[in-house]
Amino acid sequence: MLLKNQKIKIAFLLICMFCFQISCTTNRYRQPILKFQAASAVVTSTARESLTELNRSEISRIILQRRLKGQTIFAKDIEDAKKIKFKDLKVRLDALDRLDEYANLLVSIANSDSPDNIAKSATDLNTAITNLAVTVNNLAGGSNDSFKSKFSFAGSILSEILRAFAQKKIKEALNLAISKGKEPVNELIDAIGDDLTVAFSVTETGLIELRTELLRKYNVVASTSPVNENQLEVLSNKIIATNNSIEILEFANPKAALNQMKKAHSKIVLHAETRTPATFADAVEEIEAFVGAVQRLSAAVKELKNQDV
Amino acid sequence: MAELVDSILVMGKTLNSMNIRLSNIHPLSEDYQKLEVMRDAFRQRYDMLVKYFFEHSAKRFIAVDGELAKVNEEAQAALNKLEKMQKTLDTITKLIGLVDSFITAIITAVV
Repeated sequence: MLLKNQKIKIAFLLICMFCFQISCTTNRYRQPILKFQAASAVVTSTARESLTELNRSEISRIILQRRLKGQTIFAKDIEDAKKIKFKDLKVRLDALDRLDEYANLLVSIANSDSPDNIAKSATDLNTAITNLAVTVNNLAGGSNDSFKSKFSFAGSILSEILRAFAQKKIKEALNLAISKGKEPVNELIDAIGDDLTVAFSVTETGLIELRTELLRKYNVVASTSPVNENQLEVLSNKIIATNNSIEILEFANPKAALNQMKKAHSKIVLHAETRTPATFADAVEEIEAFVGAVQRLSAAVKELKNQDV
Repeated sequence: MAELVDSILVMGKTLNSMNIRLSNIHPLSEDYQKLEVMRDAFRQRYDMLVKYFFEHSAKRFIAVDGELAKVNEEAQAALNKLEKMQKTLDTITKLIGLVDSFITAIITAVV
């Protein structure tokens, strides 16, 4: 009888150790995945803003340049200034939303409280079964105490098994999402990268062309007698602001952050596939580098917005 | 698509060089007018290529969006399954509680 009790206790201990191990592997994912999601949200929001602002900034530039040259502006000129059609922009915004949804789902899976909820439900179920059994046992005139202890012990094992099962399912879901998301996420990062590279080139050429027009106007005003000091002041302030934007723009290039995002995602995938401490450390390192690149990008974008061009 | 992006970048750099050159010439000189005409013609081609890029790369996003939507659906389904399991346990618990109350009520009535 004593030996039987010890065997049960050892079995219970082993189950608890197994559950703890599964719980730890899922918990380890939480922080890095949360960081990855936060950083990728910044990248997608920067991409969203760059693409939606592209037409607006091009229209503003064309209007300003025409004014500097004293030229006419027609509705067709404004329409022609747009670089991206609304339907093509919408396709991109949808894909960016999908990427956000993917990262949010990874966080939801990694942070899921389902194992705890299921374990609690299993405990509640066990209590209900014990109460029912006690009621039936009373009906038959049996003893309550030994009956209750047997049921509650079996119930605690059941609750731990179900918790471990749920944790295993969570881990499987996370790995499945990561490995199946590998191709589309990388392809999407590449597509966003190309889009932003082109958008960046358009913004850069626009700003340099605007500075050229401002300088032209400034030089014409400066060469005309009598010199209009007020006009020169307005123009020089515009030249300074445009020049500042050109210099800051280099740091607002999202290419570095996107490359780092791709690297971090690849390391997460590698860890999901191989699951070794070394791949985990690599993934954490790349995620940290990604977060750093995103912080630099955010600071540059913020500074760029402050320029009154 | 990579070749198209590279072409846009090279054209953009050339456009920038032309603008920087213009910025160093007096606007009332003849050279300025000539270079400005060339710059405007080059800008027109650059803009056309940019528009072509945005229009043609849209299908890349459509394809990837569909694939990622499937992955998201599967991940969501896995989460839902666990929630369903918890709800099933809760329903059974409630049912057993009801049976227990029912038996207790009968015993009380009989006694």
